[in-house]
Amino acid sequence: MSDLPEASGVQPVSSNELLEYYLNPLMQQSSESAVLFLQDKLHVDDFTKFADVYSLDSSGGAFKNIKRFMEEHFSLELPQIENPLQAIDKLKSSFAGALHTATSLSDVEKLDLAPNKKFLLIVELTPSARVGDKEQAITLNDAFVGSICRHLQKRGIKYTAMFTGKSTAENEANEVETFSGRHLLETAETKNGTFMNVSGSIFVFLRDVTVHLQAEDTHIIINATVTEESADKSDAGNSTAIVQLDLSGVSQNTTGDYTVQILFNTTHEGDRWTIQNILLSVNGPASGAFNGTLENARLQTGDIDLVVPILYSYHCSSMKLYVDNIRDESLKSFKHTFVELDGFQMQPFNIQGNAFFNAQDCVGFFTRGIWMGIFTSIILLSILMFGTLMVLNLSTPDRFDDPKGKTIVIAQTED
Amino acid sequence: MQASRTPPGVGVMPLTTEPTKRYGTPLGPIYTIIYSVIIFLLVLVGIYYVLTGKGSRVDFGWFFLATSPYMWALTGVGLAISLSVVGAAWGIYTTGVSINGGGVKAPRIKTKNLISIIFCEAVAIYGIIMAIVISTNISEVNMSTLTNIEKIQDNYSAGFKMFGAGLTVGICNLACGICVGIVGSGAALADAADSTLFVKILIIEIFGSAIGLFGLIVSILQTTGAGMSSD
Repeated sequence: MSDLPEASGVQPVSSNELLEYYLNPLMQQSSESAVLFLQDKLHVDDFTKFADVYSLDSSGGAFKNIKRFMEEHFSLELPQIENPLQAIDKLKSSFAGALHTATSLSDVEKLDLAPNKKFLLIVELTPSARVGDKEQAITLNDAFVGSICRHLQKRGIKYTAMFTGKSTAENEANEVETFSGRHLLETAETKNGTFMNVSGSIFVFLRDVTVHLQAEDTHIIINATVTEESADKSDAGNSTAIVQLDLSGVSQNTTGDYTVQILFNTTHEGDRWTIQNILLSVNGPASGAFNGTLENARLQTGDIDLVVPILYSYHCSSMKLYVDNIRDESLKSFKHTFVELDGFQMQPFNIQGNAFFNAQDCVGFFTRGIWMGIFTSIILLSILMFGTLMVLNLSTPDRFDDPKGKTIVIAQTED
Repeated sequence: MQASRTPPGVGVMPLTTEPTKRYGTPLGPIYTIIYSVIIFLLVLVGIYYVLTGKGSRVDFGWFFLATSPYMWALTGVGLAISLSVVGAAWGIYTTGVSINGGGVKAPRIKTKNLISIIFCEAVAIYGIIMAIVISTNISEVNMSTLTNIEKIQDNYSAGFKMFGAGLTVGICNLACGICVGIVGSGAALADAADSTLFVKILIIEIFGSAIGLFGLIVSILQTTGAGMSSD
């Protein structure tokens, strides 16, 4: 083994190198067989932690037998190997002699191993997960390795032993060679939205509606489909408009069709139009605590600014509206029910040029928190600025300074 | 920002007031550049919004309703005490410097001129009184669960009133403190020169002190209606 190249710890030994420079030369030596001990997870840190490396005359800690064997015979340590399993598989396929696998000492004793016949014995050691504690697993496996090696010694077989792991630490992914390829043609399917035109005076665009109905303990998720006629029952007017979306939906966990109706009451005064309130109605088969109807439930709009300048449309990319159980006591049983509108845009007044005008988005430029922070920061920073300027203007008294006069000399007195 | 009352060049020796060598970047142009850049950016953003028809997106009404009334109320309390104290401190330092200087040659002025210091200190006391009075109106309210529109409006207006009250008393006391300080400084030096002058100059100080009191009164009027309450 002395002619095998030394491995540095910096560059991991790839599986091809392992096969070419280490395993094949070892196998080609005529009378020696090989025994491979495979631990499922092995890392250099395990040796640092469990092999009692910091005491001068240590016996190897959990790696007692392995350390003894390495010291008594020729040994070589390869600190980092990439994917040893691949090298072992290639070795298995190209090996000329007999191939055996074993998991316990009795398996090894049963094997027909003659001293002059070459064989490759692969021993799978107990995984550390089965034992629990890593150190215990290593101690057990080390004892097992010791017993097998002594058994083979008793039989008078000359062999090379290799102790390696299938992977390194727990949270490191195995190096699996797959080609993931480029998925240029497979883009995520974006659902197209539906454009609804109600007699030329109300435009609505909507992509998706999901209703999460929560009645006491019953949780029903309704996926509603939007068609081009969904807004047809809307009522347009000069100063008020009611945008009504009638959708039919199916639920994943119950059978039957649900009808979902979302009403937007909008008014137009002067230079702005406002969404006054949004009402939700759900009708469908009763299931669990849901008795089949939820009639005109007010939805909480809370923080959203629903006052839109005239001529503008209202747009919200994902609008999640909860049922308003604070202002409407009768909805207490439907607490946590919400509607999610995806890709919603609406313009109920003053449509010009047969298209949506600029949109007021539900997401503002800065959030309210950012504005509050900016306001307070300006106050504090201006205080800091004025204070700093005043301090910088301080000066020492220089009325009686005379650069050309005598310098003051203070005589040193003996204290 | 230092109040320099003696003209340069008058003194024991003629001195150059400018340092003979100027090093580093001059501060004046730097401040000008910074202010101009900021103002330019603001004007640019404003013109962009106006010219693209998005002027209504600059929504101060939304800003006032979206920000928490507590921010306004607590800023008012903070400004009440801090600006008053700044005024008092400025006044005391201006007067104190003169009393110290004049007291070297005329030690008799020491005791009488403490009145000026007391007038300045009163300004700080007005500030802390108002801060405490304003802060008693703050109470814990969960704005998101309020349903009565009157209550919601009351809470918001309470926040703004407290901000206004704090700002009023703060700025009035700031001005009053500086005023009393400069007058008191002159009074100390006049008293050091001629002791009959002090009483007359004290009248000027009393007028100056009255303006701090005006700020206090108006601030109390502003906070009387302010009250935060839930349903």
